[in-house]
Amino acid sequence: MTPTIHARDVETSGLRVKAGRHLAVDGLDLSLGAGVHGLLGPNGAGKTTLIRALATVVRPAGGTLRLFGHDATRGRDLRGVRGRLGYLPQHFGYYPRFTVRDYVEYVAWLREMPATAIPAATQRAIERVHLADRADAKLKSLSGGMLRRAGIAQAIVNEPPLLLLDEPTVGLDPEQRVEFRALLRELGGGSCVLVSTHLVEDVVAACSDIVLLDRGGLVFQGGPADLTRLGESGVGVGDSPAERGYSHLLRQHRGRS
Amino acid sequence: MIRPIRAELRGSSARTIAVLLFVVAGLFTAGMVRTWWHQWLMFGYVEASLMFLVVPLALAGGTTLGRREKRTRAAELMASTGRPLWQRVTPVMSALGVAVAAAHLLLVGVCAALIGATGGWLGAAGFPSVLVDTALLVGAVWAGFALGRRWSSALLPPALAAAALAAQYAASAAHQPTPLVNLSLMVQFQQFPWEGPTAAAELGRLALAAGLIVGGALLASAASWRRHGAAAAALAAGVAGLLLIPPPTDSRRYQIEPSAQALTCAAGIPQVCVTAVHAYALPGIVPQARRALAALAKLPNAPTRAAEFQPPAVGDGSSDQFQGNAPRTDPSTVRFLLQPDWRTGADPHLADDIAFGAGTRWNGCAQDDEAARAAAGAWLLGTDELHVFDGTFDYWASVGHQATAILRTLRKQPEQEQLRRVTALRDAANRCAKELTPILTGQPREAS
Amino acid sequence: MTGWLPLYLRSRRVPPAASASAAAVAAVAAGWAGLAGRAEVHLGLAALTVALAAAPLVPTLAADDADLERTAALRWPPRRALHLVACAAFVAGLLIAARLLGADFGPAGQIVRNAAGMVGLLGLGVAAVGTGYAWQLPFVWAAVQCLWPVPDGPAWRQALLWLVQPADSRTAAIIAGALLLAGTAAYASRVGPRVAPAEATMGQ
Repeated sequence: MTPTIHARDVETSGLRVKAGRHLAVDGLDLSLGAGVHGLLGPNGAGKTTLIRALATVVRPAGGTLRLFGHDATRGRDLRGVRGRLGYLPQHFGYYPRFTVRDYVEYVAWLREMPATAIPAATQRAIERVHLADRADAKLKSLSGGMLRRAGIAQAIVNEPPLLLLDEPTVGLDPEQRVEFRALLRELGGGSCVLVSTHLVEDVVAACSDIVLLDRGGLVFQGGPADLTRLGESGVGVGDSPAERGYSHLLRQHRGRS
Repeated sequence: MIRPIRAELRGSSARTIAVLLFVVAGLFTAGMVRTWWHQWLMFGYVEASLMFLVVPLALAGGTTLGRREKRTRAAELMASTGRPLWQRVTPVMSALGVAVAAAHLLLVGVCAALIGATGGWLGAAGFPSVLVDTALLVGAVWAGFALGRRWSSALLPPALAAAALAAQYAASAAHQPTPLVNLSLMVQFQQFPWEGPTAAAELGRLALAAGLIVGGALLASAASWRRHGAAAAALAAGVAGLLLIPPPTDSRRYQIEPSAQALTCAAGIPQVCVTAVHAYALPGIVPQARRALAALAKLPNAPTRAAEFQPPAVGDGSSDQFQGNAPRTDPSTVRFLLQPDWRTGADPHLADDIAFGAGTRWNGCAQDDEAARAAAGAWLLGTDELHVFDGTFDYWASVGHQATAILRTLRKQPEQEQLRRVTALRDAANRCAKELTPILTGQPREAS
Repeated sequence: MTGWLPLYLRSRRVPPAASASAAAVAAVAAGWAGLAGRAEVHLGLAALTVALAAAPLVPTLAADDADLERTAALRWPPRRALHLVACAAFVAGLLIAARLLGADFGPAGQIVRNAAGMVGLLGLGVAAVGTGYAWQLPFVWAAVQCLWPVPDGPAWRQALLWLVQPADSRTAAIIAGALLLAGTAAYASRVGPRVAPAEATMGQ
């Protein structure tokens, strides 16, 4: 893998992406580099569609999208980019009778990791999500939280420079969420991680940067400290400063448009 | 690539599909054991006919595996990975092909071992059809897999199996012998166990197998309409090959396999020989054959050797196929047709068959005047009855009355006269004479 | 459309399945009427058509989310039994109605017997292995009878080839009745093996 000199891992300009017939992402300008970026927003804001576009699953309808400096709007020539991706979809689809190890190795192979490196990388990924004791259990026998962790394992197995996680903490208990946040911080050191979630506390605790979307457009991009500061000044609705800052920003944005 | 293939073998339904096909094929093979016990080429017929039922099931099985990505919604994740589509489907298709081929070859291996262990003939002639049918199964699961990837409805597997079955059934019920008849994978059985399929018959099925394999592989890895078109073309070519290469009538499906029809003989004299496919029955029939030879030896210029009849052409099911007007006599050898019991190989009426017409049953002449022939045979063996069969029909049931009367008349004569008359009957039969009763009963001898 | 029955039928996707059944019977009937000389359908083909008509109804026997349905306040067993019997009646009705298209699948009693037995067998299969695999054994059995349509004979053969026996055959009627009873009882008591929770939400 030759290192390429490029500005940022993810660069979009006027990005438009359709979900079915509805234009879910409408004119988004985004620039993401290394670090953990939290993607927040109400339902229907276009978070999942944005992540799917970045994962090259869905082709943008307009605008530019550059991943690692490559143009990712066309379907061709995405092989190199996809090998450097990790993706956990909102609905994690898996083959039920595969074991955890088999499935993570399978995805590692699909991500074109060198064959000799796969077993060790799989073991490491499984250990990082604390599933080592269930590594040889069939996926269908896992509970919801374990399944989600298996999904995270397959997303990180190839140590991707761009990691896209859509609702990764669904089904995790509080202790597992804390462990997951530690994992995120560790991953954010070297890669660009984009985490889409509803859980504001997760975002504040683990992310270095927050991207707030509403109705396909960018509302706010900044640090969690900015959000909390906004919430501490008494505006907005919520049970924590971050939630109050979040609701205030949304209301402001909707009031303006 | 090997790790994903092993993972697929462990975790996908490839093994289940293979086991299912093995069980269905095994049940039917076991049900038809009377046909193929001891007989390798008959097993080839059974296994080829099974494809009528097993190929539709294989199509359905492949389809259930093909729907997997859409059914489990793993397609989303798979779409974000970089490998081209043909590389993505290779592990699962390899696992599927290997599992199904292994299951089928296992079944064939078990039956071949059974045939060999019980003394049956196992020649190279039967193997091409086994390999072609294995390829056909692999093609069917691959084609089903490709179709299941394309259309992930739950109704597709049974609909596909039903359609394949119905198409074959309709083809086999076609009125005229048109090439369409070849669409049915169920074949007619051969008349004799030394007949194997001709190259044209096998090539037709091989064409279908190739069409399914290539078409299935292209369709499963198809990302563009060009590939779809190529897949459809490959499949169409395969079906065309199946319809056009083999002859449309079943009777030309078979040819005589020389190594299967070659004679093997028992030690000792007088020599008794059978065809290679009946070699397992030889020890059992030697005493009877020698008893019959000893009976024939009462006549001058008697044959010194008994050998199984080796038809010069493929059997067409008619009882008088090898009986005409031109005798094919070799005076030193008497021919017989062995009809062994499917399990024990015994033929209790062998001596009767040899003695019939004083050793002229299989000399190439039409077997008219069965009453006289039966009487002559009974006289030679020193019995009052002679049971000779055409399939399951016993001639004694229709001519026994007459033959008994002729025998009584004959036995009233002095010994020398009886001997002279029976010898005369044998010589006349060897000249394809029609009227033999007058020779035994003393009417004026026919000039022929 | 409200009311329990229409919602239930929609949840089980009965309309598309019923249309598929009807289309299968219509295709066979029209094909036979067009190509064959007489109205009486060949025994073996009639047997296979019963299986073809019943097969699309198999996916309707299981719900998308069994755990959700299990929490209902309704009692399911009588409703499931009714569903199975209704399927049998529907298949029988389709085959009898095929006379309008010019294909006679046999006397009404024979059709009812065959439909009842086949659907009972399918219910038994669904109870044993779930809807995914339930159609395979009945299909193979019907295909065998299609290829070996020999009526009468010793009792064991009449039992084996029950679909192609004439309407007055007692053995075939007993077999069909037993299959319907066993299938209804089994299906009423359970719908396939226990599915792991992680597999429960996968589409049918």
